[in-house]
Amino acid sequence: MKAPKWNKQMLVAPYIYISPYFILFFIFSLYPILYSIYISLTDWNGSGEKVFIGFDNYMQLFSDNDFWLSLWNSALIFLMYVPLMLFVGLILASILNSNWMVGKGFFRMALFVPNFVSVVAVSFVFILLLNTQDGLINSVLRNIGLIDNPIPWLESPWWARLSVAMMVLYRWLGYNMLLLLTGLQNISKDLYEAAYVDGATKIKSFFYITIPLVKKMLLFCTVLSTIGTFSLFTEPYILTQGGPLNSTLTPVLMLYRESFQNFNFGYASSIAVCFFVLMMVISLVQMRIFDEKE
Amino acid sequence: MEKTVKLQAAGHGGGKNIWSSSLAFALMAIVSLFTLFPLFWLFSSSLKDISEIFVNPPIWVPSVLHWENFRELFVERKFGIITWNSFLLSTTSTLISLIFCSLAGFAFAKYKFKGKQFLFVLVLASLMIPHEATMVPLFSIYKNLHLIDNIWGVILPDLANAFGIFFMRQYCMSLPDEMMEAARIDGCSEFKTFRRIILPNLRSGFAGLGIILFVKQWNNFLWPSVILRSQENLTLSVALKALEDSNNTPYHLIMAGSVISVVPLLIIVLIFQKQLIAGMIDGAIKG
Amino acid sequence: MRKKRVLYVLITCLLVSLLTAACSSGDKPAESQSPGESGDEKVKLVVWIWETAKDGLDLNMDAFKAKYPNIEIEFQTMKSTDLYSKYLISSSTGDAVPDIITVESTNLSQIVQIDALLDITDRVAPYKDKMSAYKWEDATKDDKVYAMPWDSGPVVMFYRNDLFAQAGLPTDPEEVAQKIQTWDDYYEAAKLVKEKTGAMMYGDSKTNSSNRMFESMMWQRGLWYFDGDGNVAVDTPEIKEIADYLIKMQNEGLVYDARANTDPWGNAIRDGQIATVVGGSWHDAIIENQYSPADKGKWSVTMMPKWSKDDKYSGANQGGANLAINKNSKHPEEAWQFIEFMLGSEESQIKMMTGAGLFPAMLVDDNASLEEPSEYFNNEPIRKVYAQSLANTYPLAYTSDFPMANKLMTDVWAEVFLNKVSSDKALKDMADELRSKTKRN
Repeated sequence: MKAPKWNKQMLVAPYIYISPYFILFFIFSLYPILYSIYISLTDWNGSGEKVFIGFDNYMQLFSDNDFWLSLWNSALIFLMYVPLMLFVGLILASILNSNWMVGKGFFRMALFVPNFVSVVAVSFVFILLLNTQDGLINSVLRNIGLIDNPIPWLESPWWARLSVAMMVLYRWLGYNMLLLLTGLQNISKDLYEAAYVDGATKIKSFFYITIPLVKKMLLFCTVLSTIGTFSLFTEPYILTQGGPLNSTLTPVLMLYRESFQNFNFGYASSIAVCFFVLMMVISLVQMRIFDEKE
Repeated sequence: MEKTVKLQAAGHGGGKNIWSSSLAFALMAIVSLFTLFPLFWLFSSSLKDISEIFVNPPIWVPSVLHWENFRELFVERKFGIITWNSFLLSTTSTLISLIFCSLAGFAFAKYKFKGKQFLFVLVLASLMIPHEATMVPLFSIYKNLHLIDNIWGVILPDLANAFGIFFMRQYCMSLPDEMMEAARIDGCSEFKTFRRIILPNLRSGFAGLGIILFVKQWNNFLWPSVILRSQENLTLSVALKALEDSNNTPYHLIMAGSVISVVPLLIIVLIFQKQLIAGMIDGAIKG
Repeated sequence: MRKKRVLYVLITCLLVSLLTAACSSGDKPAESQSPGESGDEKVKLVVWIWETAKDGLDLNMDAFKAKYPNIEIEFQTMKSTDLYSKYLISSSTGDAVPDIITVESTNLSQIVQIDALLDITDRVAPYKDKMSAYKWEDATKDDKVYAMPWDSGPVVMFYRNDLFAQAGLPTDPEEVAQKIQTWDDYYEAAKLVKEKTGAMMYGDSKTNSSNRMFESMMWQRGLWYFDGDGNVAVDTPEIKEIADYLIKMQNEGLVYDARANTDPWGNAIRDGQIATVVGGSWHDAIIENQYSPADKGKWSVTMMPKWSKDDKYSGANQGGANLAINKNSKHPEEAWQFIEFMLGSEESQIKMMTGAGLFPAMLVDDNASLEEPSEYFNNEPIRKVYAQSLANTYPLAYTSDFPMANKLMTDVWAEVFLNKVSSDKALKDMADELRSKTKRN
């Protein structure tokens, strides 16, 4: 082949290579999100005519207690599991990072397994475990005499939030631990040795060396968890359907309810747009944080 | 950045204090119990009769193993074809994504072209559009494209994967430019260069990204549950939920179905655990 | 090296599956085209249904296949609520699948309103007088009928005669009906049962109630979430009276806290912790086959209590299903043949009644099988009680906003029991929300 030909090819090739992505992106992402903004300004049940109503959907949304509740619920669920997850995750990561620990491969996998097991399957297992009258956990607690009355795991607002939070913790502990472990492995072991020589205990070096040095990674995990918590759907959908009293309603669950159960496509789209903005803000904050650090 | 988790990682201190080491071991064991127990309960419940699911005292391991739960799923609930659908959906979607992502990733890593900077920022920005926010319009677009109740309807939106492009770009950047030069001088066309020279060198990247995409698609729930509805088009996750009944949910069947959904993934992940974990971490940190 | 080989094998598998994917997706349209073209081909009808209802149809399937050998029926079972939301989606996209859907009367009106069902007014005309009149109400919009009634759920009281005996209550159905005539009597009996046996009177969840008890108590008095003019009526004194009664039952610990018709509730029935089930006749099959097969002879059936002795109506209805045809079905003729065969003949209906506990909406008063004693239920002719209840049922319709009202009502109980809100306020708030959401007065 002659030289000029591949020169020309070189100019065209990259555009061809990236075109599948951009075509798909425009059809399945960009156009829908713009269309979503338009639908959010209409009253539409999905099959009839769209009636343009301006910002009415947003007005209704901002005065809808359920919407604020869904954000509040996400925040509460976040607080219930993220600090615990990061703390335990960091301790476990330090243990796996030490050279005397045995069975590391097994433990690493054991902690990580829940992350890739189907959420739907896990949710149903949790239903069996958490059922108030006959669930395994209440049965065991009652049999050993710890409680007299069954704990309403999924049937009172606070317990239900806690149950959802526990399930999220269950699924994401291992993953976050792995991220933190990566962070730990970037810490030079000389630091610990120096501390050891200076007579610092392990616990002291955990608080004075480990935590400050993985701070960035902790922050990163927090951001990921924020995004994850606000996009929760399957767990509350299967465990509690958002109840009781909407105490486990999340923005995505509300979006699903309004769109594919109540067929208020216009109203649902206003939720979608707000959700999109929220996610964008979190992502921008994330980028900001990590740009500064680098 | 490229570091993956190593088992023989550099650690601190010696394990001289037997007490603290056994305490650490105990803690690890307890947490593992917490993560593994639900799976045990899943397997155990999948072999129970419905009457043994909610009982006190609990039945840890059923005395008679009810394999007929699985038989019922396959014979009467079409779980054969449903499992096949899940497999098909996940592999197809993964393979096509890998091709698209490596092409685009390669272009962004190794070519100079007009608008590259802008287009790449666009790719990054697209990460911010949550799929959930596009469900409503996508649904009405699907009506016109006849993609509702169609497996391709699940696959298509996931093929445009910004994360995957970013991921493959990192891998492509680590390849030396000389490889391409040499191929070009030998007279290879651009695509041939990509296929012959670049692709074989991206194997570990493919394994890492591929397994992530596969797992994600296998467990995909929300969107498939919106658009798939005939029994023979369902995927496992959706079919599990569809087993629920308003009056008496057959939890024994749901558990058996869950086993069907969990086991293939467990096997695949055990084979590819290194790639998966490495990929997940690389992906998260870079993405 | 070994790993590499595994990888290659896997990749080959993936590629093979990809190829088959391409092929199989190519086959599909060809397959579905064929039946439309030639008339002798087998017609396949897809029926969306839930498990217990399918059990009923199964009893008649052999006869159906014998009569219509070229109609093939495919049942797709799912949870009824999933069925409705899926159907709403299908209909909005003009799908031809399913051909037939099963709809509970509770949700029928809602689905009729969205114009997704085939108008079968002429087809059902011969059956107009053969069915319980109230069933047509929810199936009708603008004088057009869109569904064929299947079964009714005349509400009766199932009770554990052994627990009643222990509590010093009568056990004979006639005597029980005499002793427990009103809901106040029921309350007194509940206290006795609790005291003497430790069992609870009935099962209902505080936070996730199905509202079935509440709705039956409204229905028998001709009260509903909406009044005759379609206005929201939840905050009227009569309804508050009923709510307060149920709250009293819960607060005094006379109720087993589990949502009716869930497994924990069923287990409590199995374990003898629940003394009565005030519910639709279809509970007989649930108690006998599903939850409590070992308790043969311990359960009896009688009329449900009334609010006050001189109330005209004593019965209520709970649930009951209908079959309807998808407006977009490609085989409406065959679909109707199926429905008519299943629901239009007394023979099929009786079979489903005796075999699956589906009490027909069809009026079968003279049928001998009504007199048949039930071995499980103490050899009592339980279906006579059902027929009696049905004859005394207030002719009420569920109406199209029922699903929403029912959902909001569940939250009323949760507000009362969890947040200690007064029933007054909770009902008022619920009524206001219902008004604004349904745009009623």
